[in-house]
Amino acid sequence: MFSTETPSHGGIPFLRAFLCVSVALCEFAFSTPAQAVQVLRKGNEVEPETLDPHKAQGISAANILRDLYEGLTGEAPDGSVVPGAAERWEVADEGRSYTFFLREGARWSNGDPLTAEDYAAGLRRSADPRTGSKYSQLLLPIENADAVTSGRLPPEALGVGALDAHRLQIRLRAPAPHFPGLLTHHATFPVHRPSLAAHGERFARPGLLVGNGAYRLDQWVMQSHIALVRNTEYWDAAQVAVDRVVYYPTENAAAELKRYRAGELDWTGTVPQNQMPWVRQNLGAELHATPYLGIYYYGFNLTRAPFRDNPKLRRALALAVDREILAGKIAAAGETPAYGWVPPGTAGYAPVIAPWASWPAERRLAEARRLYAEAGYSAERPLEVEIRYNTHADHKKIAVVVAYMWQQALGVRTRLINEEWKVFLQSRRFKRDTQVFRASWIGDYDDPSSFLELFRCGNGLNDTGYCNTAYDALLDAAAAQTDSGLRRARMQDAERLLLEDLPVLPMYFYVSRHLVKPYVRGWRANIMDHHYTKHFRLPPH
Amino acid sequence: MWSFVLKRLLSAIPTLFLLVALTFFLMRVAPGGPFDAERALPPEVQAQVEAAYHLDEPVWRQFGRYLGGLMQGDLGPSYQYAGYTVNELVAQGFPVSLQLGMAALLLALLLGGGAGILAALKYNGPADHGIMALAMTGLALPNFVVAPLLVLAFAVTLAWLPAGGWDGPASLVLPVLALALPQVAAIARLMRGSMIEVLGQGYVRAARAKGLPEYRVVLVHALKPALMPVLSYLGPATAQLITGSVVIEQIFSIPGLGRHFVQGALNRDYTVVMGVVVFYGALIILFNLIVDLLYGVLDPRVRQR
Amino acid sequence: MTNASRNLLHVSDLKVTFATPAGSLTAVDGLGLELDAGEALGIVGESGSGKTQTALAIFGLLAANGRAEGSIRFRGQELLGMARSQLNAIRGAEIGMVFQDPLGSLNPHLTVGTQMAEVLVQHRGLGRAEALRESARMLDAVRIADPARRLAGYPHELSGGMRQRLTIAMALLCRPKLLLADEPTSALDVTIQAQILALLAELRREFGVAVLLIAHDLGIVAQACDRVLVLYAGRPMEQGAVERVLARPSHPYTLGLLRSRPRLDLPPELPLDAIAGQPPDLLHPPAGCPFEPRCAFALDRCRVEAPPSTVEAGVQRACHARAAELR
Repeated sequence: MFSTETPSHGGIPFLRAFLCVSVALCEFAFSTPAQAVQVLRKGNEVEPETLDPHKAQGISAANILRDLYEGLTGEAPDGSVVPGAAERWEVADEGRSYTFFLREGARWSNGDPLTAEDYAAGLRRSADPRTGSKYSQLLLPIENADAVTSGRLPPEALGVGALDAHRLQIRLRAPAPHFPGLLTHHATFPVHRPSLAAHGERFARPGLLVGNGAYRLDQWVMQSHIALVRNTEYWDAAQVAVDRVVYYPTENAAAELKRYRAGELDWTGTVPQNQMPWVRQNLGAELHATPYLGIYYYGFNLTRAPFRDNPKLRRALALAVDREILAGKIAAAGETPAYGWVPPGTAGYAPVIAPWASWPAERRLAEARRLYAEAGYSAERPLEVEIRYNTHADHKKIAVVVAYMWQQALGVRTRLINEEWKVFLQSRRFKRDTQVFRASWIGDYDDPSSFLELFRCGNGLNDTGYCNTAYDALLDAAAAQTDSGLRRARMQDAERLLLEDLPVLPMYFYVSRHLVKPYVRGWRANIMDHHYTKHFRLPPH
Repeated sequence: MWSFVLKRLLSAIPTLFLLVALTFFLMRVAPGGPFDAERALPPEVQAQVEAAYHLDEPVWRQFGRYLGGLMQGDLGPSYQYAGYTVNELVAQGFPVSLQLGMAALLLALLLGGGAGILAALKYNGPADHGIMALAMTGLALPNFVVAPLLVLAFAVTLAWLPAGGWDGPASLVLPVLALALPQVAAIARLMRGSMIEVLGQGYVRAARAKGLPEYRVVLVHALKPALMPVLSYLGPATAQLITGSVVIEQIFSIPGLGRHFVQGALNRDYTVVMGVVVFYGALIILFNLIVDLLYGVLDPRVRQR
Repeated sequence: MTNASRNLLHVSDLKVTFATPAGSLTAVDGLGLELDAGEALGIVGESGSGKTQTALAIFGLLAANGRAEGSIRFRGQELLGMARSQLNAIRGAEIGMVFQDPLGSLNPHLTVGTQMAEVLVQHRGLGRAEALRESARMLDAVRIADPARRLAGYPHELSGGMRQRLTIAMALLCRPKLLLADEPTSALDVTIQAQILALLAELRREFGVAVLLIAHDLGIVAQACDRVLVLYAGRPMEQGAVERVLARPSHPYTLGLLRSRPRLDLPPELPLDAIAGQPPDLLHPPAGCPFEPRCAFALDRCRVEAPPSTVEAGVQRACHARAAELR
């Protein structure tokens, strides 16, 4: 570079080059970099069957619907209920009447104005038995919902009505303090009536789906991916950072983990159980395992022997199970042992714990043996019982361990029967053959009633056949309370009664497991595991 | 030849009919229905929904209804995926499965055929033993073991190829490889065996006696007859490659038809299962027909019949 | 005998062994023969006497576990140990081979035309069309009618006799100097046999090709050849002019062969005068004369000492007994 000839000649080209380079560097440093498109790639487990908000079921569909639509109320990142499409609401008539005020200038993703009638129509459609919504119980607090969902009254009779374009009135059968929380569920989402009229069942497809959420549906390649892009008509679009979110169906959890490690996913739907130790050790900072509003349990069939009218036997079996081992060693993802029914962390509730939860093992087992004998069983006449579960390695593991615990403590002889999922569901429902069956329950909304209602007499989801008028009365009493403290107390009473009668054997409370890349900002633990993409951002990485 | 083809196609119709009927009634015998879920529908709602899909009618009438639709090429609506017809699902999934299967077939033929020929030429030598040992391993190791290993090696550790998805030629490599490997092994063994037999034939010796170079002896004189057993194997194998890639599709998140097949059965999505069965049945019949026609091409002695 | 370098084919001390799991098998031992241009030599022996292996050894077509030692010189070039590519230039072009089973040596999947033309394309560099024309001419020469149709067709469409003519035609396409025919008529019926042999004689005259004919039937050799070599257990027993050997055999084996032929002039009920005994085990070849156990003229030394090859009155023989004593 330096010339050995006349120094003045040698110096100038160098200086010139230096200046050029500096200027270029300055330009580079001070120019605004092009805005990078933020894309979030999420593993979403199962392929959703439909994105019709009133027909969809399952967590995968719900995740996507939460981005495509917005209910009257929404959830903050930590799960608490906040205004959604409605900026405020008024409660009247001792909690039996709600008036929701929609935001000014609210629009659908195609620009059409969003009106209260859209919400009314949505609720009616959801309650209409012809739609076949699986969440019609959610709407039961609404006046006449009971009659509408069973077809006795037409959908127009539902206690909802648009007072004008911006105000929606909902009348309840009885006061329900948790009602605003219910309105975050996709079963209450509005429907774009022109699309429904024009395309019928097919309105929930890419190119046709019109929503009012932070994103709109761009692509749906079945079994490949579902891509959402930002909805510029969303009222809060300015605050939405992620431009594009892609949901990948990742049924095979092990394969999902590999894709995450290869950098193809920013977020996994779950973590395979048998790889948890490795993940904890190697990807510990990216692992988010937090309590989840769900419970794994065994149900007793109370409609036939040996558990019919036999609370002592049920309690004996429940006492003989060591939940610490099940949760700590077998499930081993941070699950908490369940000595009650409603998961800890449920909004506005202090869980009830069975009195024997704190007993030392010997006392528990001694009591189990005593009750077992009193129920009429002994070493000479042992209990022969079956545990029925749906075919899966994880459920088999637990069943084997429980059978072993029963055998060690009481001498029970257990048969293990596994059935394919659909067959299993039928067996449970028919209650002809089952004795002990595996089950789980995930709460639809963050309120103890989402767990306690399950055991109301005659509830279609109650595969135990439990029917206790005292229990139902307590639930009704709780529902009638406007005061949240009294309501909580009544529900705790109900739970206590449940734990007395033990139609079920609670095992452990679920933990939601996700791997999230460190460059995804905005994660908050959330007992419902509801994460809205609009709350996240991906700074350049 | 055309009368042969026509006869075969005509005789395919009763076969397909039997297939459809068997599947239809067997599916309905299985306990559980498409709308059974953990979160059960209230009975009134369930009744409504089932009526909308004609599931409340007597079975034979449902069958008649289905056949009627089939005649017009309508495979019915999917029960599981509301708003989608089976025709759409098949149209979406089949090209993917086809690409996957055909690529795997090609790879298997080239690799397996080549390996088999090589092993036969180096009969009983170290190369032969080596190739056959690899073939045994390829046959013994199941898909769902090989695929994740491949992903771990090439996608996670080396990051040369994507771990899943279906976009671009790079995402084809690992699934095709995983799908093809057992077939490579099978074809290598078949090819080796039949090649060894053919190479021992008098006409191969005679070809050598004519002073022809070895490559011509192998490729022109020996290959055609050696292909016959491989061809017999290919008919069902092709159908299997196109339809049986469920495991691969699941591991690599490939939007093919195989998943619909299995998921449909597990979900009791009657129409999807029926549609896929009809489709696959027709494919298999077609492939067997093609194989039979190819026999005629390969072996002129067959043509006289 | 003429100078080795001037013979068309000169074989000396040919030994062919096979490595088997049971041990080393000696198929041919100490074979020597000479052939000049245009001559016809017949090799005669029973099954397992090593005739075919001799032919295969000349062609370099022995099985993988076979080894040939000694010398096979063709037009002065040593064939044993020759590189494959060089050998390929000779095979099919300068030496032609006709195999025993015509159907077995024709590829059923290729057309006749392809199988014939490829020889010309390979060795004479002809284009395919030209090669097919030449092939048609050759089919004519072997008296196969409608050559154009035959060329487009397949081997299985021809009768046995026609197929053998076809293989002869194929072997002669490049006008080789030597034609090796391994039992060309064994798979055919007698009438066709005669035709083929007549054809061979005619072609020999027409193309001036030397013929090495392998047979198990003395009668064929008598008809078609000038000289004959008698093989037993892989070793040459007698070699000489055909008329001489057949009229006055100078080896007990040849005598036995001649005597064991069925004769039309004797009553059919008479038992055949077969040679008693079995050929020796080639895995453990005897130290002495291989024919000794079955020989009516065996001497004591025959068992221990292999008879050397001697020439008496123009006939090469390997026998301890005196020729004059053989009756």
